[in-house]
Amino acid sequence: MNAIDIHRKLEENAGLLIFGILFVSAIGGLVQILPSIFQETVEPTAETRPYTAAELLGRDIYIREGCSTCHSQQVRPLLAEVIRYEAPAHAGESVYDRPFLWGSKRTGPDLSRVGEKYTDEWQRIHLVNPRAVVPKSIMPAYPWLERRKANSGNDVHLRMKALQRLGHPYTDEEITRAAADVAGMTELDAIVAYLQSLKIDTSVDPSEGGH
Amino acid sequence: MPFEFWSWWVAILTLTSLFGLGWVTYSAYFSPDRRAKADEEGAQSDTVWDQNLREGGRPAPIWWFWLLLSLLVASVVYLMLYPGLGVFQGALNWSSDHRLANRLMAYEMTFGPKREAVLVKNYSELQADEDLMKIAERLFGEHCAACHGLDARGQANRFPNLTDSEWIWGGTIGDIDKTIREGRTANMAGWADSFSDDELNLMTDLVLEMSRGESVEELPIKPLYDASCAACHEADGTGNPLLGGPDLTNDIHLYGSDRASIKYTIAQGRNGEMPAFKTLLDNTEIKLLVAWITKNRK
Ligand code: HEC
Ligand code: HEC
Ligand code: HEC
Repeated sequence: MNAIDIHRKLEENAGLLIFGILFVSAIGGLVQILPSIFQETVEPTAETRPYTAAELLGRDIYIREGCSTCHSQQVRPLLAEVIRYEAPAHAGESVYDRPFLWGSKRTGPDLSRVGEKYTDEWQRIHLVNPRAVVPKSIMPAYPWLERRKANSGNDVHLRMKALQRLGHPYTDEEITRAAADVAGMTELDAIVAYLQSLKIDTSVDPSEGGH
Repeated sequence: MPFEFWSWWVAILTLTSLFGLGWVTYSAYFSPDRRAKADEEGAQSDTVWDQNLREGGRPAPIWWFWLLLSLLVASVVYLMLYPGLGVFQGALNWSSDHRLANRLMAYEMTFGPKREAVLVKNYSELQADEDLMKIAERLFGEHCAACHGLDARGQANRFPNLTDSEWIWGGTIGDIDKTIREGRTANMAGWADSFSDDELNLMTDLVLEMSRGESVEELPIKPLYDASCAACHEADGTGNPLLGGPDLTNDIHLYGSDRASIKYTIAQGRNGEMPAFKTLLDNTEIKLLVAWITKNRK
C-alpha cells in the first residue's frame, strides 16, 4: 500500500474525495481551535470589569459607526508599539468584549489605551468635527452622535441580560438600574464614556505574557 | 480535559500530519510504479475516468521533490527551535515576551544615559541645544498638539495659546512644570441662579470694558463684581494664577471675546481641564517640554 494507491481510490470516488478534503482541512481546526474551546484559561485581569450600561451602549455605537475599520485595539509586543502605547495587550483584558474589537487596520492610532489620554471635552469636540482640533485629520465627523439618544431602543437592560447569560458578572440590580443610569444620555455621551474606559491595566506585569 | 491532554493532542496531530505529508511526497516520486513511469515515454495515469479518460502519468519534476523536502525539513527544525508542539518551548526558549524585554533593555541602555544627561543640564543649556529642542517639539506634537495645536497657539476656544506671555496658571518654570505634571482644573461656577438677567448684562459690560483697558471703578455693578468675582479675578481684574482665574484686563479670552461667549461664561461657568502627565511622561520629557515652552514664549 502506498499513498498513490490511496490517491487513486480517492480520485475515482467523489464521495471519498469530499470526505478526504474535509478531513484534511479540519486538521488545522483540530489543532488550533478545538483545544481552546475546551480550556477556560483566560481569566480577566485584575482591573478588567464588565462595561457599565453607558459604556456598553457606547461600544455598540462604536461598532455601528465602524470605528474599528480605522482603529485597532491591540498593542502588539513590539518595541515601537510599547513605547507609543504602553503595555502590550493581554488576553484577559478582552474577556468582556463580545465580539472583541482588536481590529487589523490602523488608519488612525490604536485606541486600546486612549482612556483618560484626553478630556471628555476634547473627545466631544473631536468626534463632532475632528478638524476642529487636528487640522489635517482625515477622520470622518460624527455630528449626529450629539443629537441622538443613546438608549432610544430602550433595550440596554436586555443587552446586559444577554451578556449576563453568557457569563458577564452583572448583578440583577445593575440590570434593573441600567435604563435609569443612561436616561437622557446622547450617543456622544455614551461613546465618550466607552472611549474613556479603554485604559491600561496597571496590575499586569508587562513581562508576564498571556497575549 | 486536562491541559496535558491538549498539549499531547496538538503535538501528536502536528507530528502525524508532518509524517503523512512526508509519506505522500515520497510515494508520489519513489513508489515502484511511479519510478517505472518516470522514464516511460507517454506514460499514463492508472486512474480511469468515464471508462476511457486518462491523464499523463509522469511524476512531477524532481526539483519539486527537493523543494517539498526542504520545506518539511525546515518545519521540523522550526518545531525543534521554537514553540509549536504543545507546551514544548523549543530549544531556543523563544517567546515574544523575552524578545520584547530584551529590546526594551537595549533601548534603555541606549537612551537611559541620554535621559540622565538632560536632567543635569539647566534650562538655558537645554534651550540652546537645537537637537534637544527638536525632540521637545516632537514630544509636544505627540502629547500636546491635539489640544494646544501643533504650533502651540491654542485652538477651538478651549485650549490656551502657550506662545504668548499670558499665563492663566503662572508662567514661571515651576508653574509650568506643575501644570504639566499635576494638570490643572479651572473651576468657575455659573452665576445664572444668583444674578438677574440685567445684572448678567451689566457684568458682561464690565468685563468687556475691563478687557479694553477702561476704568470700571465708577460702574454701578462694580460692588457686585467686588463681592462675587474679586476672590478669583482680583478687584482690578488682573486674575489669580493660584486659582486659575484669568486676567480679565487684556483682550485674550480663552472662550471667545465676543459678548455672547463672555455672558455665557458668567452665566454658566467654565471648567477647563488640563490633564496631568506625570504618569505618561518621565522627568526628562517634562523638563524638555518646559524648556521648549518657555523658550517659545515671545
Ligand atoms: C477613516 C478612518 C477613521 C474612522 C472611520 C475613524 N477614525 Fe478616529 N482617527 C482617524 C485618524 C486618521 C486619527 C488621527 C488624527 C486625529 O486625531 O483626528 C484618528 C484619531 C482618533 C482618536 C484620537 C486618538 C489619539 O490617540 O490621539 C480617537 C479617540 C478616535 N479617532 C476615535 C474614533 C471613533 C470613536 C470613531 C468612530 C465613531 C473613529 N475614530 C472613526 C481615522 C478614523
Ligand atoms: C486634553 C487636552 C489637553 C492636552 C492633551 C494638553 N493640554 Fe495643556 N491645557 C489644556 C487646557 C484645557 C488648559 C487650560 C485649562 C484652563 O482652562 O485653565 C491647558 C493649560 C495648559 C497650560 C497652562 C496655560 C496657562 O496659560 O497657564 C500649559 C503650560 C499646558 N497646558 C501645557 C501642556 C503641555 C506641555 C501638554 C503636553 C504634555 C498639554 N498641555 C497637553 C488642555 C490640554
Ligand atoms: C471661584 C473662582 C471664580 C469666581 C468667583 C469667578 N471666576 Fe471667572 N473664572 C474663574 C476661572 C478658574 C476661570 C477660567 C475657566 C476656564 O479656564 O475654564 C474663569 C473665567 C472667567 C471668564 C472667561 C475668561 C476667558 O478667558 O474666556 C470670565 C469672563 C470670567 N471668569 C468672569 C467672571 C465674573 C464676571 C465673575 C463674577 C461674577 C467671576 N468670573 C467669578 C474663576 C472664578
